[in-house]
Amino acid sequence: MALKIAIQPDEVIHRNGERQSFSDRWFQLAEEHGLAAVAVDVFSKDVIAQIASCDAFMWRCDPSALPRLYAKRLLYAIEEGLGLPVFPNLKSSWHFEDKIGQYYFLAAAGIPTPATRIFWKREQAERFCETAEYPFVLKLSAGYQASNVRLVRNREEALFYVDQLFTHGVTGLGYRPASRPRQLLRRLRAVATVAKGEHPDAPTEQTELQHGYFLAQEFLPGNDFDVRITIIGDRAFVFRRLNRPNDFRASGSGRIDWDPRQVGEELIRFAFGVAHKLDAQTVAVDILRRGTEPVIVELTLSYASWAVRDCPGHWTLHGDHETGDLKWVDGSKRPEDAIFTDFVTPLLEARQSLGPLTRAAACP
Amino acid sequence: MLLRRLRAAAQTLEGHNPYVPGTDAELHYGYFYAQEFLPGNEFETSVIIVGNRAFAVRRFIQPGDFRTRGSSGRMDWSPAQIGEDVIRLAFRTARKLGAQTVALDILHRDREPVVIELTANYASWVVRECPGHWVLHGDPESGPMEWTDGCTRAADAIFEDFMDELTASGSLRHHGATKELMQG
Repeated sequence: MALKIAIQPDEVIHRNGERQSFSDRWFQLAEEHGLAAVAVDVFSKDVIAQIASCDAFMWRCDPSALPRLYAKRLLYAIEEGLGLPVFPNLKSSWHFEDKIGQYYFLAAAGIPTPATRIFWKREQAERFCETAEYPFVLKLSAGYQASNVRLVRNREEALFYVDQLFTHGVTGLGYRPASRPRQLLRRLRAVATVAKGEHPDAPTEQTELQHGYFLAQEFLPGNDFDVRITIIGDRAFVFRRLNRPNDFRASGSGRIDWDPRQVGEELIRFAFGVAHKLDAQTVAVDILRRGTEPVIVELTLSYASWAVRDCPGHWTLHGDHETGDLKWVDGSKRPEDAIFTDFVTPLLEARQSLGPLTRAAACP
Repeated sequence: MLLRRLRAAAQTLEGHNPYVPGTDAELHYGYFYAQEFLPGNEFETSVIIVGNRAFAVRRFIQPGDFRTRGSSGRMDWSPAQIGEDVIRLAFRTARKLGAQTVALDILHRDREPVVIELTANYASWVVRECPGHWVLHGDPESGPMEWTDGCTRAADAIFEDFMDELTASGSLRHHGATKELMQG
């Protein structure tokens, strides 16, 4: 019987207008390889039974708050409870939109990052703001693209965010300290919302309420771009993201340079090292420079397919990340394809090697 | 309701969000979790697994309620009242989790024991009050279970298992080093 893969359909329309669906491509690839792909509905009541009738499960989940918080739990349940191979597995997905978890992991693994302070007590955060070097970068733990990252320029601004994060919490870093009349206006607007019986800072499907921590990271001047390296198995796809005009953030700028000559071998080995330490099926790493030393700023699971696909080729690693051969492979490759190949190949091999055994057991 | 809203609005005017979760709470939203009501359960059984040990206690529901009051209501530690199927279900769940320790709340659905909830931060005194505990040898389905008399503290059992784990991995490393030395 053909290998049966449960796939949750996904769809994203990017800001450049391009429609992305990992699942569409996976269904197509499954058909080409003579595999059975079954569309499941993770929001149906018998989702476990639907997946249990298959041999494996794939879900390219959106980073929005609600589906993500659900996906992490369901993927773990299927991987450990049901014992089926899943994409993404726990080692690939635990850090999904969790910058706090990422920082502790990278620090514990001895992987260089920008100097980072995470405060869990208001008083400690306030004390930090008194003596901090400005500007520094304030981040929310969850939140994709640049909307949840701010350059904090002075003490007043820093204390404003400490207050927000240690009282009612925020769903984004959109609010800045404002003049008194403006603050009053904001407050009156909140009163009107509350009087209607609604939560003035209610989270939505995309955003979640974040509070009770303060994540500060040193600002690294002189970085006009970051290097985004997407690792899938033993492949590395490389491009540079130039900062937004007059901004220190490159994430989501859409200004991409795919020239592979601009990214040194050192960075590619660095990225492979991180992926190996994670033991992840795939991960995208954002790299900046701290002086001359490369540092990891962030890990991403739900990267956009198009930017990877538009790479003119990719590197493959043969052996360990420090000394193994790096070979350049010309031509565009879709990340959906690379993920699918890596996921399905060992399943097919296991099935082939089991084949004769099963027959032998049936005919003793 | 109107009064409640007005009070909330006044708080907001003062600059406080009345919906703020405290440090011991979080905001719940975006899901709806419904579970069947299981009538006829006068108590739930809490089984606390630490390694291959099982501690058990029955918590009785409150009069006029379908819930127990955690560790502040009526409780009974007598092991004779606890079914073997309940203990085996708890061991089976803990093994599936691969957990060092876990507490399970178990109810009955007719005669079948069902797991209601898993807890990592159970109260230590509930374990210490147990007159003894079961020790499982082998697999949860059929392995023999042995009753051990006497009180054991959860902290002790956890610490003992954890030291064993460290010693086991430490001795493995040591063993590897010795082997290398001998080969060298």
